Amino acid sequence: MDAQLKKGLLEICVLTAIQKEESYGYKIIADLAPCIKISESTLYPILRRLESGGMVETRTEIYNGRARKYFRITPLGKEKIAEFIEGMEEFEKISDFIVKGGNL
Amino acid sequence: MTYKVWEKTLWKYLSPLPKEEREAAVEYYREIYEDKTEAGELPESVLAKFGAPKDCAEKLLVENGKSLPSMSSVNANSVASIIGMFFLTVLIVIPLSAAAISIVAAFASVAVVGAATTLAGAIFTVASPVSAISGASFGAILAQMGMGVAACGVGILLAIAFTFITRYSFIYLMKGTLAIYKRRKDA
Repeated sequence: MDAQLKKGLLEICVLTAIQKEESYGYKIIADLAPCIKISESTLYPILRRLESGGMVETRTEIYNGRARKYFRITPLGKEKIAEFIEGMEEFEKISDFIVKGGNL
Repeated sequence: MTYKVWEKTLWKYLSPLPKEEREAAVEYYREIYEDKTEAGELPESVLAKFGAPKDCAEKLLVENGKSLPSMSSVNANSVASIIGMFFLTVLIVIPLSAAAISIVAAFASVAVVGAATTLAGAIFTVASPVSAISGASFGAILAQMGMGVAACGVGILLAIAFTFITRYSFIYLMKGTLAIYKRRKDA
């Protein structure tokens, strides 16, 4: 898959992974594994980007005597997912065009 | 490579970032490392999946519009740290250590003085009746024996008390030294 395309998709995947409930690094990677393989070193910059973009909030909680950072989606993050889903309809048309060799 | 070494290397490569960013990145990897090892994954396997700390740092630096520091600047930081440690050792650690050792030695000396006083008192007590040869009165002999016994008593008290004080001072000095050494090693 194209690197730029994958980069955009990964952000949406991460937002989707934390859409239902807040999550943490290890769990996000595990939840995404059936759909898309993402490494720890790839996930971290995505989380930082989403946080600085206001799409994700963080909080730290003590778990088993150590600190664990939880990531929670914001309304802006949910908007981003909704925009992506809307954009998928157009994407499907384009994808269809390409796959059918220009014949719709 | 152990996790501590991996993390330390990552920290060095993240030097172009502000301290808070560096700390956040290191905490992120530490949290995932602990989660994975807690779930039963081998430390070596976790570190292999993380990849080289240099590569992890590069991804993050690129996100922040920065590039990897040159090895010379990473090494320069290490050299500066070594020079700093040298002066800290010479100006503070050595004098403080010498003072601590001197105090423990002083306690030990008092314990030895106590033992010597006990011995002297015992000899004085035993030898007191010999004064009768030189014509000393019974009262004088008793007084000498009393002084000898008193010296024994004081000596025993000093010897016992300062043996304990020396022992525990030495133990705590050693524990403190080992704790500081271990902390520096882990850092």
